[in-house]
Amino acid sequence: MSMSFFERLRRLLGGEGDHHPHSEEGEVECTTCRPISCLEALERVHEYLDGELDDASAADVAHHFNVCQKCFPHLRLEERFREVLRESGARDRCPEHLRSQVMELLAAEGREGG
Amino acid sequence: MTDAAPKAASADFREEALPHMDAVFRFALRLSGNKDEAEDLVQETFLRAYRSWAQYTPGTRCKSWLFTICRNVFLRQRERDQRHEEIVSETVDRSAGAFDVVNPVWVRAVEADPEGDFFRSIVDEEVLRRIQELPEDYRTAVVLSDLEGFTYQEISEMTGVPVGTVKSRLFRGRRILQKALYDYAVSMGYIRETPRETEE
Repeated sequence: MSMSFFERLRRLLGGEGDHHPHSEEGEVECTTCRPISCLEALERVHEYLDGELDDASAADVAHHFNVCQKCFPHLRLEERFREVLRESGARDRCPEHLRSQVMELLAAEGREGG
Repeated sequence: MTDAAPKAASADFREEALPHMDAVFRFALRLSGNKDEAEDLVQETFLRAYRSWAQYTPGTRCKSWLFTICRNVFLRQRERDQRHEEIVSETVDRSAGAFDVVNPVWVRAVEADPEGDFFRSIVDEEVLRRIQELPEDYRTAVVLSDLEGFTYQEISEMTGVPVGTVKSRLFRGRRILQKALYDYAVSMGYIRETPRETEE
């Protein structure tokens, strides 16, 4: 399964494992990062972060981002973007007066129906 | 609904539906972008849900069911003001980087701010404003996935479109948002881009 952001970062910065930086020209195809290419990893990044890949595919994608210096920042930026979206609406709560209005509405509806 | 239904529904409804009022309010707010309209949407949603409680299967995904009702109410109201939706849609470039596997915005960000620190400088209100500017179909997909955590399959069922369409809407909606937020960060000076050399 996929590793945490910090685990990936630790591996990348610590030089642990088979970390092969891309050449400047290696925009899409990466021959050193197996089993999938940069193109495939970037194509699947949304499904990967959304938890929509099966375990094997998720592991392939995770491995690529772990070892590919060129692609890793794209994953990190994508994660940051999602954090910002999640946090942007997390504090909104239903106002108390609205809660009361809904309850009154339902009570009235129940009386009419009953 | 039968005469006995409202009374019988009452306890179940309180237990299963009412705990989702915060989430429905958030969703209504993201859909409408307007607090007053969101409050009306919430009232209408719970009233309709209560009236059709007999159609709900207990123990299934009540939140999805409520969101579906909420969106239907919203879309019906929007039909009355079609012109507004057209104007909103026109302000958005629906194709912003939509066909590039390599996200052009991240290519710029990797050079200027690879840690994505600029995101910390963008206030929630700005993020929400940009979400609001998305066309409704993209906005709904992004909100349901990124803010509420629904799966592709759940979003597909809630919006009545195939999973492939959900993925496509998410992809494009996110790209538009990413570009909008990045450009905003540049315009505010949160990111300093170095001029790129033109290639022959």
